[in-house]
Parts: sequence; structure tokens; C-alpha cells
Amino acid sequence: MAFNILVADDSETMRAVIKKTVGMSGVPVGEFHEAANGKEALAILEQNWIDVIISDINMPEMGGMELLKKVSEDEDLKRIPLIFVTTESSEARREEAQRLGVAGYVKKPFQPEAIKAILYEVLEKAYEHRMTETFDEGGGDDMDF
Amino acid sequence: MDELLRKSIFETFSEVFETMFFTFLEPLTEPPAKEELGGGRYVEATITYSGGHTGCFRFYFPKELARNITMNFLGVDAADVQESQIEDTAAETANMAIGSLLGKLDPGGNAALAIPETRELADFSPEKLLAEPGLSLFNTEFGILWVVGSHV
Amino acid sequence: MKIVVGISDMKVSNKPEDMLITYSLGSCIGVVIWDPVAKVGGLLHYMLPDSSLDKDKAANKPFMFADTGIPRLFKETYKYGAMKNRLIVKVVGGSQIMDNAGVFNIGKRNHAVLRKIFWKNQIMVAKEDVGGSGNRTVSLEIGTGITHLKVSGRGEFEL
Repeated sequence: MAFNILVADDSETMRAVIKKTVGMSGVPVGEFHEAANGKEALAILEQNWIDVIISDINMPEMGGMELLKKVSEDEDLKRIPLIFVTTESSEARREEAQRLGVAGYVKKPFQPEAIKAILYEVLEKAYEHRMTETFDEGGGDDMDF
Repeated sequence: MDELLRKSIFETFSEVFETMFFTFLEPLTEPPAKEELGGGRYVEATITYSGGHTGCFRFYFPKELARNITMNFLGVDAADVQESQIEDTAAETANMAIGSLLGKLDPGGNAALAIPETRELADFSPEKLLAEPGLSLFNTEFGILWVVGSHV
Repeated sequence: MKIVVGISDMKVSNKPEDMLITYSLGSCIGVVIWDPVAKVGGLLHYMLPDSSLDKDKAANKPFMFADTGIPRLFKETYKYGAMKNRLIVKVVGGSQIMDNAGVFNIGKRNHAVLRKIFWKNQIMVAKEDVGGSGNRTVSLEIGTGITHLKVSGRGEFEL
């Protein structure tokens, strides 16, 4: 059963990179939503069923920490695991994220395998019953090989 | 510039460029001769931070370098790269490079990184950067990356 | 049967009794791929990142370069029924050693160009053991997909 994914990052190219990585990972993707900041992410969460959130921390209007806080305090949204993909890696930041219930943490710069690994780890933990099949890794049409 | 800072800059910037753009940075200890400097289209990305430490870094990418790292970042051919994506990649480069640098210079995480700003410079001559303190030059396959930075 | 893959060489097999092996991976990269369903595997040992600087050599020795060798490795396995989305990909080598031309960085460059090609062609790496300063030997058992790696100074282990 496909997963609906929301990516929040103020960089459109970073969002495209994460989208491509998720597509390559083998996880079946249903809907893929994009937000440029926490505020846009919340608006999407209000209107759509989302299974996992991948978010940067440093964003204008509303950053990732505040988004995580709001998600964790909301009755309907707190079930959704949130993964940080960010340059912020200080102890203080990680501890704050842990306290707020972050599901995973990937440091930028990253290799695509790191996103795949954390995504599987988080989805298996949150949605064990939906992860029983083995997924084929995606391969697009217009590749060289 | 402090040697330790220079080393940290090279290591963190290299990690970003090699991991995300498959591009190698070769630090230049001396700028090229004035006659060889040239000029033209550049993309400038600026990022600052404050709180505990204060810093400001400006990156100057020759347009072709900016275009090439965008292609590599997205994993697409040159024809599939849009102009808006080039400036966006320059901004994200500044974000990742200085975000990573702060990880070394500010392990306590006190400094807050601002959102980067970018602009295209149609006819820029990097000669004017030569007098700037805190100048680092990195040679790449697609031209020299100029970085002017200060960290307190 | 033990099939040796030399330097700037590539071999593919679909015989379960075969084992592909390559030695002396210093700054070179070894790419090991295996389809667990079709039971087809291949091993490429390349030396240099970019064929564009020596197109004549690339025509004669396509497996010397990453950009000409990697696509050929994959396509050869497709001929035997391997499917791209089933192939398990492992990468070893790229040590930081001084090679014959006195170039120090070639291992890193070999690795970077592989990652660039894989990213463009949507291929994920399952296991990787690259860098450092040791010499490597890697083998692939076609019947099982078991990959053995020997690294000087670190012994032998399954990757």
C-alpha cells in the first residue's frame, strides 16, 4: 500500500533531490506533497492524508522545530512520523528534536542511501503491517542504462 | 585568515561539493594574475549567522560552475536545468556549506543561520574581491569559486 | 569455476558454479552487481573516471573508464535476464594511494564519478567499502550472490 509523503524545505532543488531519492528507494509512493516552510506544510497536513513528513529545520516563516512541535501537539497529526534532513547537527538541536519526538535525523550533505535507510527504518517502525512486502527499487524510463 | 578556519572551510566545503555535486575543490593559495581574471556572469549567494558567533559568507560562482553543480545536484542533463534552479542551488550550497561549517565552529549550536540570498550578476569582475579580507579561492573544472567570509 | 577479472576488465556470468574475482584494487574501483532472481552477476574493474580525454583508448578498452564501463556492465547482465530494479550493487576500492602517474586523488575521483553516474541513472548502492589506503580483492559467487572482500590491513570479510 502506497505512502503519502510531505517534504518541507525552502530550497526547490533540495525538494527535487529528496523526491528523486524517495522515488529510487523502492518505497511505494502515493501522493508526494511539497512545502517551502512549516506554515505551508501545516496547510497541506490539514487537507491531505500524509504518512510521513521529511523536513528541513532552517526555513522562513515557520521552521522545522516549530512544525514538529505543532504536529506532535495535534491530536490528528501526532501519529505522523517526522524526519529532519538538515545541516543543524549540534547536540542541543538533536536533544530538542528528540524531546519533541522526531522520528529520524539525516545530516546534510547526504548520500541518497542515507535517506533510503532512514525512510525504511521510520516506516517499518510506524507502519509495520504495511511493510511486509519487499519493494522493488525504482528505475525510470529515460536513463542511460 | 586563521589557518584553522581556512582548513575547516576547505574540509566542510569539499564535503558538500563532493557529496552533493561530485565536484572537487582545489584551494588556491594565490589568485590568478590580473590579466587572467576575466569576468562575466556570476551567481552570488550570501548567508549570515548571529547569536554567540557572528558571520557572513558571500559565494561567487561563475555561471557555468553554478549550472554544472545544479545539473549534478539534480542528476539531469544540462538541457533539463531551469534558470531558477541554478540560483536555488547556489543558495542551498551556501546553506549546506556554512551550516556544516558552523557544526565545527559552533558545536554548542548557539548561532542561528539566516536564510541565504542570491542574485545573478550579469557582468561581474572578481578583481574587486582581491582586496577583501577573508577571501578563499577554490579552483574547479568550471572556473574559480570565490568565497569572502568573516567569522567572529 | 573461478573467473578472473583483470584491470580494465569486466565479466558476467549466469552459471551458479562460477565465481568472479578481481585483485589489486588500489585507486581502481570494483563494481559488483547481482540479480537474486535471475542469478546473474557481473564484476567490473575500472581505473579512470573519464573516457573523454582518451577516446581512442576508450574504444579499445571501454572497461578502463567509469563512464564507458559501468553502462556496459549493467547492459551485459540484462542480456542474461537481469533486471535493473533487482540488481544488488556493491562498490569497493578507490583508495587514496599514489598511482603510476603520481596522481594522489584518483581514487576519490573514481568514486565520485561512479556516484554521479549512479545518481543520474537512479541506482542505489547496497554496500560500499571505499577509500583508505589499502589494496582490495573482491569476489562474487554467482549462485549465492555472496561477496567476499579482502582489504590489506583489515583482513577478509563478507560485504
